[in-house]
Amino acid sequence: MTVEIETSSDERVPTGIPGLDTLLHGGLFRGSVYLLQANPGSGKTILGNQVCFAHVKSGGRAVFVTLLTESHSKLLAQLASLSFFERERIGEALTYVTAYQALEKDGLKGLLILLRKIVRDHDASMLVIDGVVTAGAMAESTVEMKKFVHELQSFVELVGCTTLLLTGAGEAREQYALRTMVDGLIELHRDPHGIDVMRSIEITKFRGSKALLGRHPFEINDTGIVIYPRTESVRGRNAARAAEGKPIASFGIPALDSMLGGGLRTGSLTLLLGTPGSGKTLLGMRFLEQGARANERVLYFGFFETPAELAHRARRVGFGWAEYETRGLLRVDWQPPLDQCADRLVDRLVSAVRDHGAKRLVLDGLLGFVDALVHSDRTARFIGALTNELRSLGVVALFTDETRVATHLELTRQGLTSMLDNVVFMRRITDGPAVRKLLSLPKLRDGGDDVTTLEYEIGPKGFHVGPVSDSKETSTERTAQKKRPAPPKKTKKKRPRRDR
Amino acid sequence: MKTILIVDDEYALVETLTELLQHEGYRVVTASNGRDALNHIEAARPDLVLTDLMMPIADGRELIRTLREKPALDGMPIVLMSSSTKRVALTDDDGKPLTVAAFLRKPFPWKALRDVLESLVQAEPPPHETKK
Repeated sequence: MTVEIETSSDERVPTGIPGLDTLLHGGLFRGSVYLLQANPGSGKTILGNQVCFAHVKSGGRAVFVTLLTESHSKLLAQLASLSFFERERIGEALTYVTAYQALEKDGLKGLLILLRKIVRDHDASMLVIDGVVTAGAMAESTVEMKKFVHELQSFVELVGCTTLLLTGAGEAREQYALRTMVDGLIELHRDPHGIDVMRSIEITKFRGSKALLGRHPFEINDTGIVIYPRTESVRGRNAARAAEGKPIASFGIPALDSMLGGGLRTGSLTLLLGTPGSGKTLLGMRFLEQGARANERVLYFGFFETPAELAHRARRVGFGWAEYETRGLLRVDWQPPLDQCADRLVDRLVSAVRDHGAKRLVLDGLLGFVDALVHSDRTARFIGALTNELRSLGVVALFTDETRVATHLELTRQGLTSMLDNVVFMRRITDGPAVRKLLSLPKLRDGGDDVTTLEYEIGPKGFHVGPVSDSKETSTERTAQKKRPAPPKKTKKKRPRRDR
Repeated sequence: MKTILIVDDEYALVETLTELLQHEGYRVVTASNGRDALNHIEAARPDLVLTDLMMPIADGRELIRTLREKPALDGMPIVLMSSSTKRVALTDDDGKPLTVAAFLRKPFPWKALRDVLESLVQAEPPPHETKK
C-alpha cells in the first residue's frame, strides 16, 4: 500500500501585530518568504521583533538574524520599553544570531548554509533577517541574489519556517531582485503632513491570497506597532438598516419628540447640525441623560470639550450628568483633537460602544473625525463605513456638526445627509437686538416632510421648546419654505412652551 | 549508512534535501532527471529512490517503470513527490497503475518526508541484500 502525505499548503501564521493580520486576511503563509521594505526610522526592526515575540508567545520558535546592523545589546535595550518585549523568552524560544561573519567569509552561499543550520538547530518556525541590504551589497550579481532567495525559499518551505526579510527602501538592482522573488512585499511609509509625519503600511504583493490594498495608518506606541486598517476597507460591510417598529429613544422634550414620531429608532443616525452657540452639544447631552434616566447605558464621544467642561455645563442646565456617570450608566470618552488618525478614532469609538454596551451615542462632533482624515477625498466613503458600522451595533447615534450658514438649504454641502436618517437643524439667529434659537427637521426618514420650526431657549432647567413666536426673520424663513403652514395667530406674542 | 538517490530537476530543492538528509545521517546521491538517475544507479546502489514526477529527459514515470524492470533492484522502495494528485501521478502513460512505497504531494513538510524515509529504509533491508 502506498503511504500518502498530503498537507495543506495554505496554513496561515498570524503576525500578532494588531491590524496586520486583518490586512493579510489571516496572516502570512507558513514557510513563505516576505520582504519588509522601509526607510531607516520607519519601524521595520520593531515590527520584525514584534512578530518574533508574538510568534514565541503563541508557542512557536523564532530566530532573529542580523547582518551588520546595531549590536544585539543595543537592539534589545531599545526594545525593552515596549510591552511585547519579554526578556525571559530570549535564549529560549527566541534567539538572536549575527550572521555577518559567514556572509563576509563565504558570501551568500556561506550565509545560506549558516541560516539553514540555525533554523534546523533551533527548530525555528519563524525567521527574521535584519539588514538584508548588506547581503544584496555583497552579491556579485542580481542572479546570485535571486539564487540566494530561491534556495532560501526552497529550504524554509520544506521546514515550514516563515521568513521575513527586512531591508531598506530603494531601487537598487538587488532590491528589485528581492522584490520579484519573494512571496510577499510589505512596505512602511513615512510621509510629511504639514509639520507632522504620517506613518502607513502597504501590502504591495501577497502571493496566494487577497490583501487589503492601499495604505493603512499605523502608530508606534508603548505596545509596539498598531495598525489601523482604513475604516472604509473593513468597517460597515453589512448593509444594516435602522430597526423597524416603534421609535424608542426620545429626547424627553415633548415638542421635539412629537415631531420625531416619539423618538429615534434603534440603529438610526441623526445629524444635529447647528450654527455656533446653538446648543448642539447640550441637546446631545439631553438625549443621553434621557436614556440614562431609563437606566440605559449611554456614551458621549467628543473632541472639543473636556469632561470637566461638560460636567460644568450639565450642572448649569440642571442635568444629572455626574450622577449617571458615577452610576456607570454614562461614559464620557474625550479625545483631544490632536489625533491625526481617523481610523484609530473609529477603532476607539467602536470599542467604546461595545465595551460600554451603549444604547445611545453622541459623537460630538463630526469635525473631529473629518479633521483627522488627512485625505479629504476619503470623507464620503469613511463616513459611509462609520455610519454603517454604528447601525450594525444597534446604537441610536447623534452626530453633531457645525455650520455657519443659517439656512438648511446649505445642508447638502456636507454630502452626508443621504447616509443619515434624520437631520435636526439648530440655528442661533439675531432678530434685531434679540438672540433667538430655532430648530427644524429638514430630513426625517420616517416622518415625511415636517416643515414645522420650533423655537427654544436653554435655561437653568434645560431646554424650553415651543412654537415660533412671529418675527421678521421667521417671515423670511416662511417665504423660503412655501410648504410651511402659517403659525396660528394666537402664538404671536406667546413665550415658548416650557418642556423639560 | 543508508543511501538515498534524489532525482529532481529543481536544484534548490535537491540541495536543501541533500543537506537535511545528510544531517539525518544518510548518504545522498543526486540526479537532475530520470536518465541521469539510471546512469548512476548501478554505481550509487541506493537503498531508496526519492523522485520527482515531471522532469526533462526521462520523467518520473519512465524512471519508475525502468527501475521496476530491473530484477536487481526488486524491493527497493521508491518515493514519488509531485505537485500533481496521487491519482494522476500514479497512473502510467498507458493507463496502468504505477506502484511506489510512498507519495508526497508538493509542497510537503520536511518532517513528514523524514518520517516516511525512516520507516521505509529501516523497516526493510536494503534490496541488494535480499535479491533473489
